Amino acid sequence: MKRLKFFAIFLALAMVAAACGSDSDDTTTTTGSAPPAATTTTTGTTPPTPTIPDAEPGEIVVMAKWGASGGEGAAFLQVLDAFTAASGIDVNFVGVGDQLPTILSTQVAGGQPPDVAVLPQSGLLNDLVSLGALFPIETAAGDEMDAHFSPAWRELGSVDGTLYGVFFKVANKSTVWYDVNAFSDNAITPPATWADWVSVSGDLLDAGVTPVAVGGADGWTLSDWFENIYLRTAGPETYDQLSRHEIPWTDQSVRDAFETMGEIIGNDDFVARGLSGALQVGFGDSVKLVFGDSPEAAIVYEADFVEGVILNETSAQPGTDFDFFAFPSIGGSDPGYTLTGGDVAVVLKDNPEAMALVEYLATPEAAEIWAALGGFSSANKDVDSSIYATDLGRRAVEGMVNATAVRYDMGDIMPSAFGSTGGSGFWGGLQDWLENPSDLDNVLATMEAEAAAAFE
Amino acid sequence: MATRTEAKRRQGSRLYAAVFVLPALVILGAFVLYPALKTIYDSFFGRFGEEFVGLDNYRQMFEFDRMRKAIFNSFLWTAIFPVLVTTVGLVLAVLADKIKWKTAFKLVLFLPIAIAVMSSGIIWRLVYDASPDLGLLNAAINVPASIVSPEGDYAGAVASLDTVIIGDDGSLSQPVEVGPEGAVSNIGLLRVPVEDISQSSVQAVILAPKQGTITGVVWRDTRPGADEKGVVEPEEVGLPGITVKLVSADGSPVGSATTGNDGSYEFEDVAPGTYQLEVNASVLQEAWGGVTWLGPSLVTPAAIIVGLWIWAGFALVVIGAGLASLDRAVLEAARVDGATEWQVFRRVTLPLLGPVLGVVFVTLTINALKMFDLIVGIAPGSVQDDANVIALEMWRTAFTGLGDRGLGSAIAVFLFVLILPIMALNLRRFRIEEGRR
Repeated sequence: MKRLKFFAIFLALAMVAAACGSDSDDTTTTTGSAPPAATTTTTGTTPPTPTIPDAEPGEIVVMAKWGASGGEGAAFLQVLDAFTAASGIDVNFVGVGDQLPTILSTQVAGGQPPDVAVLPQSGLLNDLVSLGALFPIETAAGDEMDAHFSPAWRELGSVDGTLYGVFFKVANKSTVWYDVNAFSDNAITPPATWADWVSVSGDLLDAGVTPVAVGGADGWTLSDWFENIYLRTAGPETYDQLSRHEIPWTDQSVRDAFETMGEIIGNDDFVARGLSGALQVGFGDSVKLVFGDSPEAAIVYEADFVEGVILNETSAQPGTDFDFFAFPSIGGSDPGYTLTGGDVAVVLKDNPEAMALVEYLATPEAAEIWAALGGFSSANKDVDSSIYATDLGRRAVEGMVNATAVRYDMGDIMPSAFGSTGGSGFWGGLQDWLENPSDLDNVLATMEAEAAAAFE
Repeated sequence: MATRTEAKRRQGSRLYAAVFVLPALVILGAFVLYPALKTIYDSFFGRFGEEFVGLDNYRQMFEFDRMRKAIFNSFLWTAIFPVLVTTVGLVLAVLADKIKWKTAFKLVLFLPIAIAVMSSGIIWRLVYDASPDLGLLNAAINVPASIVSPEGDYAGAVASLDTVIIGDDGSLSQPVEVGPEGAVSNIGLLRVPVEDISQSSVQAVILAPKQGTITGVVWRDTRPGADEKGVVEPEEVGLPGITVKLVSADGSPVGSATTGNDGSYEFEDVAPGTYQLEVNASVLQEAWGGVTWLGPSLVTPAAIIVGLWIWAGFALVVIGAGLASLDRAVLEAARVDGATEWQVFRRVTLPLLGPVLGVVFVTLTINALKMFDLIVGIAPGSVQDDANVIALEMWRTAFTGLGDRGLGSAIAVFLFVLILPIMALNLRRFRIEEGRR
């Protein structure tokens, strides 16, 4: 009897000890890890895991990664308000931050999903379809999609020919941002080819300016470098094959792309703070290394949301201090190839209100509300391009609308366990490569093994 | 008769007791017991909890590199952290005992506990920043470092032509053949940023040889637009203030000169022959780059130091309380018997402090095993794998990306099993304490 009592107390105490957190609570916090597919990174904390309230009749719950208090959340709320005004359907918006894939999958597993979710990665769309969590939106939004979007965007939102998502917010990921003054002081014009870029880097280095800043602490910046290069060196069809893992990561085309990439960001002298230093620099800091008060480099590459970061966190002015050039062609590749990312709206509960919202998001009117506020790009052909707030923003959108071939960010298409998980898989492999570019064989072998496991 | 009312009263009081305990039991049951049992249950299932996989998760766990590194790091933490912090706490407690301001001292050292561990991690990430301009620690080390190897006027510059020989110490040298008409020897430098060009610097001159002299310029061999290396061109400026040394063929120094505003220098009365022109490495010396404290090799020790910073105050306060409760008479008796302070400490104080030290040690060991928020706060994404510990690995496996619930649960159970012996130890201690009273 006594032994049983002792065991019970022991078990209870053991579990209390193991379960007790320390001083901090259940705040889920990311310090600069997962990237926005198409938005500005918000540094610092995300709010504690929100509870999704039960929707009232005629009210739907919409989940997205944009925090309700931040600039993006406020802009999206304006879009939702316009929807409510037009349809009479109330919307309860929940902004959950970068942990959206985790939170959403937990809710799906628990049987309490929101009505509509805006996913930052299309790989997540595929995962949710395979879980049976999404409802087709053909009847609701199919016509709008056909009217306003090129077939490429419809295809990206579909699985096996069935339409599940509308790409509401997209990003041009082939924009390279540079310090206008550093270029003009050294009589450098933006390079149109990769070979030019390498020679421009040499010229900048000779003049005592480190060419490029790389945010290696965040693996996704490196993945965007690789994807742009791979798209140009291997071509769109091969790009698709790799993103579906129909060819292995040890393929010669992959090796060639890495070696090309190494000509600039594998060169210790070309990268601000050297390769090992770059691994300690996050995305936001890499932008400040070029456009902040004490610059250490002249060029930084990342998607068009860099403009938002520069405007919010530095005093650099568009045109006079910063500008962008399109990611150059490599070895004669078509200069119109564009890499994109985007946020896709999907339906998780089959009701007419949710379908109405998704249909609304496919219209040009919905896109124009946010476009006017800045920091937003739409793939909708019928959005009036003069509505974009900045000249640079307009050029970035035109790059996407006029692209000869558009490809989605590979890391976001692949199963997220490989394609978009910090510290391992695609991102982790690239970080390992940056640490030691000559160890390419090992890096590729490891990436291939992890991809094989994730794609099962 | 008496026994029956007594029995009834006992039953009544048991009922009251049950009523009071019930809310706590319900909460414990729902938030501790149920999740724990569910986790153990989940660990036998697959990624989304559907297919039964038996012990597969447990077997697979140890095959992943990340998990192996996490186990190794957790082992490091468990081996080093409790011993380190307890010892430091003990030393501090004993020292604090002897000073006047002990309460203020203890208060200041205890303060870090009030900060969320995650925030401490973020604060220290700034302290550990690799750049001496940003990281407090590297800035402090930079003070003597910049005196020992100061930054040169043209830090990081390199020669523009391959014909310049780079010595082992980083100095530049160029062979000069002097004939009857004298010689001109120029050394061009690259990677001199505009900020490093002195105010007095002017266009580099093109010099003609003069009989009996070696002359030349040291200049910034780059200009915007068309640029030929090794040739002095318009818009290329001289670099003043550089000491050039002339060394004869056998290595004996012949003379030294300093470049002027146009970069020029001159050695007069030079006999024909072969010489070496040298530029000292010190003018090219780069500023100390800073240690990468949060790099792959140093991140775990760096994090342990932060752990020390956070919990030393806790150890100090608890051990200090234990010290204060010691019977002074015993210590006095030992001193009277002729023991030295050290002997008193080792033979009397320490054994008497045993239980207190035990409590501190066990608490710190449990903290070491469940270390999570500190690692998340302090390790940049690129070194998360190197700083990994079991609790972090569990979270990454179960909750990042779409997650693998089964494997994550297995890791959680593994961690639980690791903590069990320590809890058993703790309970044994409680029972001994109970027995003593």
